[in-house]
Amino acid sequence: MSSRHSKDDGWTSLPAVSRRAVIGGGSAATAAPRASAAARLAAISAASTDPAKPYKAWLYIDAKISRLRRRWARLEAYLSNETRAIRPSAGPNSLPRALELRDIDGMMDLLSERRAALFEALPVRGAATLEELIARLAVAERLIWNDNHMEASAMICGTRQDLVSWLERGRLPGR
Amino acid sequence: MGSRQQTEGERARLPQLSRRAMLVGTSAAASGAGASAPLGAGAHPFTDPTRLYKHWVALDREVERLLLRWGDVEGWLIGEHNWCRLSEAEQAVLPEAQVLREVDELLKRVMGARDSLLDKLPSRGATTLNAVAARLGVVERLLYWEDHPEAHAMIVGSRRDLTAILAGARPWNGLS
Repeated sequence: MSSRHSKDDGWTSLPAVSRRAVIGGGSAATAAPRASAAARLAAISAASTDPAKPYKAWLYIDAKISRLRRRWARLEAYLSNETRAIRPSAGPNSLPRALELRDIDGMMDLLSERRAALFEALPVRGAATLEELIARLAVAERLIWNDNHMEASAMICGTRQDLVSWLERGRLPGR
Repeated sequence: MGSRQQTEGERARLPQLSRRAMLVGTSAAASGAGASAPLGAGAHPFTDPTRLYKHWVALDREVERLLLRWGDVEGWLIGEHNWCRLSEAEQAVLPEAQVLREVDELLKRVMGARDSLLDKLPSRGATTLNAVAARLGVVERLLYWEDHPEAHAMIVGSRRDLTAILAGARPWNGLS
């Protein structure tokens, strides 16, 4: 971490992350909001009466995985630049910040398992509220790749936004 | 087409389709209640988004039907006329291949109409539940089930939920 902060390049602007924070799933920059989000997530139980909550929990985990993936990619790029001069026989643990990379990897594995478990419980039909439909469409939006399905992705996103605007107005439109 | 109907093989039992029906672009599927308009004239003279979405779905179904038809006809030509061993020039003049050429031409037209209509479909700004349900019907066909089974199931389920709400078949706790 020190080597990165001592450099005067774009990497110095990365938020500092302790290993504990990584394993705990948080970062220094957003520790407080994430802690409350984690508390909210913990409050979600199978007995929850809000049908949109399982979708929201999945979306939360999915966003967290995306954030860690970005972090992992940046860190790996940094390490590959930093370690060009290191002899090939050096083990991965001898590289600066390599442990953090490994921890992020482990964290992503754990979260992916949780996300998969949550996914199994998501209903694909039988929505009782508009909010549930909105949350389900948000999950579908995340499941498809934008580049491969630009039109479908735009339509799902637009539909979700239409439903959100109806929800905000407090009434359904006509047929 | 006549020669095909005279053969005794399994291909002879292909569903019969008149040349007129093929060229007009109607089919058993597309000429039913779900079809929004015949293909051709005016391309897509609708301004109602719901009808646009439904028309796109009808075009997409027609493409699917023509692709199957194309495969059947080509399979018959392979079996009966050594189609794959003929040169392009020989294929071009084989009278029995006329149906294939017509299906091919029609397929190009219908695919062109479908693809250009897709660019005109609004992705947001629906003012009716029907429009949203019809839009999800388009998404359902744009996503291949094999590629995204979970997302596909969610889209199908959401469209059916909206349809049930529209039909008044489901109590709706969210809004009135």
